[in-house]
Amino acid sequence: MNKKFLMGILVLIVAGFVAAPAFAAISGSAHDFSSETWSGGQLCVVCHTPHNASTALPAPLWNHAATAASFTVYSSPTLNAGVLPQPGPSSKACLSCHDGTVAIDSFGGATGSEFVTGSDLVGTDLANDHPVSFTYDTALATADGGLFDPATKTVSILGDKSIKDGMLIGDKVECGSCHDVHKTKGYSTSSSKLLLVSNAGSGLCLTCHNK
Amino acid sequence: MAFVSLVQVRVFAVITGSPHDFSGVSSVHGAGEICKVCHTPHNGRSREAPLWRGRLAVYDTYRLYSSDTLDATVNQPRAPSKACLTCHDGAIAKGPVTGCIDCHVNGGHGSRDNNLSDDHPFSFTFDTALAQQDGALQDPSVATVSSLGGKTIKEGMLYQDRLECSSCHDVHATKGDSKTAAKLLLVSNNQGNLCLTCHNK
Repeated sequence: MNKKFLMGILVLIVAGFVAAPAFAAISGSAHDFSSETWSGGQLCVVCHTPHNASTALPAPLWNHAATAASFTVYSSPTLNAGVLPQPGPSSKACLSCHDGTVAIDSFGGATGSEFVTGSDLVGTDLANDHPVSFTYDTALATADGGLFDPATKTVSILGDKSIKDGMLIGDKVECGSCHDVHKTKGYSTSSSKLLLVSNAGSGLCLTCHNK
Repeated sequence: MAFVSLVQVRVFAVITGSPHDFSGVSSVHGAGEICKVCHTPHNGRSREAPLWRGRLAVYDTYRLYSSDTLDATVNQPRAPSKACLTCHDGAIAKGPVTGCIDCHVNGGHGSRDNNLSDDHPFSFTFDTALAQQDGALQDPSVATVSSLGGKTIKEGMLYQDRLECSSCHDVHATKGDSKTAAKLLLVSNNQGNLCLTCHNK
């Protein structure tokens, strides 16, 4: 075999690796509605639009109807994060289907009729769900005593990014801190719940909770 | 440097491998997860304990401790201790989602026992007034606990000024001596040190 042939093989192998990610992980995921007739065979359009985006939520190029619900927030005597606010924009984007008040197929100005049901339904009562939309910083970790410092604790499956860099959104815990809607980051590519970190041995919980 | 080494020690969560790690017991006891036996990230069933997965203790009333020399008013178990009793009263065993009374009691395992009369009292307010009234208790607002980083009894051991199960035992094997001490004790009881943390004897 001559050098050119070997190089050709190498190019093919590299091209193969490069070609693989051409299939985005959202394709075929729980959030791929392209097989539904109401999606018109499209994938991103249920949430995003390249033009004339909705200003109902400050989420990127938003195209879905936004929830107008008033949420019951989580509270606990052992919570050091203070009184929680209503969910922030990032989590509201998720709740704009998962609170059950807005149909999945309500997007692009249309009003749909298919609602989230079953275990995927979070509802508007968030008091029995892990808190979201609170600032998780070094000060909170110190005050709580049972949390890792998000600025220094690294997460191996997220390329050793810190919790702050890899999981928090604007320094806050949001739905996206545990779940990757696009099934792209960390462990989410192989997780049915789109978890950023595998919860075997409670690995996801223990990423932040120092217990 | 001291700070860095502390952070490194804590990389391994201490509940892992502790008496409350049931991840290896069987599929119904957490399915390879640890936190799941007690907690859930969504749809918790009780607001009395953080994101509680199952039910809390089943008894409405327990037989409480009493003593002629007891100055405290002992209440029926409050929320944090009820969480412990969920398993440790023998009425409900450890288990996910439905609570295991269905298997462990109706199935003939375990014994129901609401008798706390032979156990150290808990769910009572332990404050300066009680210490003064009793005369043989440390003032919880003043007395400090070295294994808890010099926190006072009030700050490091009490829950909303009450003595609860968690005042002696750390379920997560995280605080104070509980990482290594038997019975998950916050303060190792060598030479009665845990008892003498509060009892001025």
